[in-house]
Amino acid sequence: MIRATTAKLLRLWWRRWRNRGGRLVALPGMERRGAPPKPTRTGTRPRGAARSPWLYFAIALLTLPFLHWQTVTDLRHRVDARILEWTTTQESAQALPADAPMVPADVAKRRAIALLALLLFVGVLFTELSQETLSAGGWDVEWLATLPIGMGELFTARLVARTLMSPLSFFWLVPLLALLSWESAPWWAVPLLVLAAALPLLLLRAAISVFFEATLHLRVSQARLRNLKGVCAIVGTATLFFGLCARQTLADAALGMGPWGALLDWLPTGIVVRTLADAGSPGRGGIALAEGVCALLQALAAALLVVAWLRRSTRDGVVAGGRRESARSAAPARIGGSPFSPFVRRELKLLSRDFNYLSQALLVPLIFVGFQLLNMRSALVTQFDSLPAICAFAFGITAYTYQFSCLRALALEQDSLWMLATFPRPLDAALRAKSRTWSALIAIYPAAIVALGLGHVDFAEFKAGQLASLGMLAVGVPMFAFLFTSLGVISGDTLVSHEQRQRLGMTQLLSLFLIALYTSVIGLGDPWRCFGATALTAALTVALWQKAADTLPHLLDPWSPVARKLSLADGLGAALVFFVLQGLIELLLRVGTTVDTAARLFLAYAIAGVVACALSIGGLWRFEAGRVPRFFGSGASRAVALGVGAGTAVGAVAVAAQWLLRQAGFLTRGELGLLRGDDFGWLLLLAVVAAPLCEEYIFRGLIFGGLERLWGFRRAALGSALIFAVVHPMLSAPTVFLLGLSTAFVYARSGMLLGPIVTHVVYNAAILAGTHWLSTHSA
Amino acid sequence: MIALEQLTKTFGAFTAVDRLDLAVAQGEVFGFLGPNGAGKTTTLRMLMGILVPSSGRAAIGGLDCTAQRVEVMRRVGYLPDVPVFYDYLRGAEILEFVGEMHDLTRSDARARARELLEEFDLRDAGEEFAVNYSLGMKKKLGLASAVVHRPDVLILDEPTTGLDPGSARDVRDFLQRRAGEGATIFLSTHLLDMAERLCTRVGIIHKGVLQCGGPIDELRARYAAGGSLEDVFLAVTRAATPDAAG
Repeated sequence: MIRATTAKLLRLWWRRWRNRGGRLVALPGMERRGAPPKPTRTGTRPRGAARSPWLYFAIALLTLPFLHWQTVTDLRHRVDARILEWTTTQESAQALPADAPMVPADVAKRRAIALLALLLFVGVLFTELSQETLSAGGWDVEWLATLPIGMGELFTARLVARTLMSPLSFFWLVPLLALLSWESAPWWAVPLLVLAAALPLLLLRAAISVFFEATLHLRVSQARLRNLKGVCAIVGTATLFFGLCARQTLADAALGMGPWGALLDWLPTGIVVRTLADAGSPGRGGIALAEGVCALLQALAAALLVVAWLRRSTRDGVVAGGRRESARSAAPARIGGSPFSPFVRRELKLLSRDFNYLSQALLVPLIFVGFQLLNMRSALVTQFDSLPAICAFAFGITAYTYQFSCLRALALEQDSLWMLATFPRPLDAALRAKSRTWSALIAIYPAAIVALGLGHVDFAEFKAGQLASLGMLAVGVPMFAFLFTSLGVISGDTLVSHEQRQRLGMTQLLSLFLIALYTSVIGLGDPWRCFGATALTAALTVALWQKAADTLPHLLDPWSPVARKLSLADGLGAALVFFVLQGLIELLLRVGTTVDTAARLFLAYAIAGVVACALSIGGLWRFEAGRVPRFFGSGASRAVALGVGAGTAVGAVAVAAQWLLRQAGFLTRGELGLLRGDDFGWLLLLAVVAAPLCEEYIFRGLIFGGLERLWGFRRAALGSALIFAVVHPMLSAPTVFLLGLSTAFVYARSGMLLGPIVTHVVYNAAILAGTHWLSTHSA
Repeated sequence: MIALEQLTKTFGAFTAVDRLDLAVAQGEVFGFLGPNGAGKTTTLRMLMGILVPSSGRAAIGGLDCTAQRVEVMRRVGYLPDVPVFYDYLRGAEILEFVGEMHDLTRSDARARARELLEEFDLRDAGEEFAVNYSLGMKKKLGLASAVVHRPDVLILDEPTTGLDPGSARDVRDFLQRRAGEGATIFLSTHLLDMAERLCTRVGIIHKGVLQCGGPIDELRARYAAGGSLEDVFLAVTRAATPDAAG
């Protein structure tokens, strides 16, 4: 009978667990009940509605049984295959049965499943230890012991609570038991059987967990406790993944276990698996019952022992001990004569001492990827035989690791963030140092992978162009550190506001998307595409960094609105809308109408340009009144003069370049075919009206303007010209780069877009005229 | 030295600090008094550029606390109400880190850290992880980090809360010494006794509004003739309550 006090304790823990939002199952969108709603920043961030946790439960319930079914079936299949293989070898070679895996197939299969159950049990145990039991914020038993409750009852209640509130068990263990019950018993008996099988395991898990929790809190200092937490997280995750992924190893172990197999059978997990197997066999019901009782007795004995031991240990009071002495004895660590800045040294010290931090950032990602590889070892050898493939793989791992470090750069500062705000340094300098440190540390991974992978490369197929992948990897590693750091700042995962925390899920999705995109281009190994993707990602990185730097002064104050300024992100956004729309409209016109090529190109370009520019101008008016790039102003005639001069100069260079390309045979007559007949009119409209207007607004008005605020004229001109060149065909890129530089110059000098528009008009007209002349004279 | 002009901070619909006007001259020890939740910490955080004012302006030495934060930080030391440090750095390492971030050389930062640990009686704790500190030790370490770079201005949030009587006396003496050397000190507290002994001038804030300010003797004469600062405090805050409620 549960006494009233126990019931009250259970209610308390249940509330606490519920209020913490079921953090154990890492439900990102779950509402934290009891947290007071806080206002968001006005005008900058949409208030996301709280998502229901039930969606996650439903997804889990639908997918997990399937996952377990797949694992179990695969295990059995692998056991069968191994036995078949062994028999064939025996017959063909007439060999002596030396290292014979001679366990009957059904026993081997059962043992393989028992092994899986054991690994899942251990994995759940350690993971929950790291998440719940050893979590920071003190040990509540210290406080509960001041209430009029006996220690025996307190620990018993704790045991009951832990038995019932173990979400990971319900995710990993119970579905496996349900699957096994489903296979052996009629459907109506399944719930009963699952309950009978799960109870001993849950109780045993609770007993071990309560034992560790109390013993560690009583004997280990706070600092060590956090490190142990890290160790538990690693062991737990690794065991879970090993159980689910390393199936061949499990099958081989079950076959080759010999006498140890009997021990496995008699462990609680083994007994439970046997119970479920026997429950279905005709005439073995009694045995199943006896086995079930045996498992329950084992668990009960463990529980009683734990309660008795804890009562004994807490006879002299409950004070979480050893809080101060353990650290005092440690020798002060110094990184002597280090060339690093104080901030970087601090980062390295924290990393080397806080195992929790270290494992989260560097080891967990490796485990995730490592076990995936275990399962597809053979695929690796055939797939990773070219430099681009190896570089793509190396980059994938690196970027994945950043999700746990750079993306959470501020979250890892936690409550100590105030210190950074008191130093006479811009906050983004600290973030830059952080990104640099992380990229330097994590660069070890891709370097090792490339070094190892080079041994597998089939150099007969090697092309020099594939070196572009290596370059893209080398640039991508540091670049993504900055990209993800700024993304983390913008998504605001350190801010107290609840809604902002929810957006982290979206940020992670976005970061995965960016990783996938960049990785796939590395895998192509095509120089121009590699260059383009790198340049565009660099632009995105700069844009995000600018946004993050704008956010930083408001970092510790989520209530103050961030002043919006014209930034590179506005330009990239407009460019993206423009290109996507252009492609879509072009496609629609091609499929739905009979408009000829030149008219189609013009219409798609003009409509997309008008829409993108209108959206951008409207957005800028709405949120950043008065910051729309100016088209006209006083001094217009000077702007026109400057524009004509610059346009003529660059246009002449472009025509000369065109002539050279033609002489060298790079341009064929076919490419000039558009310039004949009716098409010419459309092309003229496109080149001297639509393109200058849209492109100058986006590339000079927004992109150059945004960059100039960050970098000043010279670098902004280079950067915007580079982006401008990258979105053009490769052959015209050098002259377009020159055009980008000169229009930026004209814009900066004249202060209005009219100047660069005129430059662009003159340049395009010169190109058209030059092309026309070249084509007529070569015909 | 410190100037607040119409300083206001709202959190959504709630106004934490309402049009605060205040000036503190160089060398003054100004006590910012008020009951819990009056807006003291919010004001101090705006002075540190940690919170951005909703309207109005906070300036130290003529520099805007938000727009010129970096310059302001060179001359200011700050102690938060609950200082939280990096768990896995030792006391001495935290002080060295703060010193280096304030552009001291490594050896200077180390020497300064040793000196301050000595001064604040934290010698034994210097080699211990900050996560293991008690609140009082954290406060002392926080104060030590606030003065590492010998700032002209100290902004201290409840500097003696959590300290034992001996340490509280040491801290008071330390602050008096610094004030004697010409430092400007702006501290918030609800320990009236301490304010009475330490401050040259006090201001009482209640529900975000500055109710009164001036030298203690003057306030005493105005609000509670012959009474203590406590009488003044109660007279001011209780008189303000029905107004605010009505």
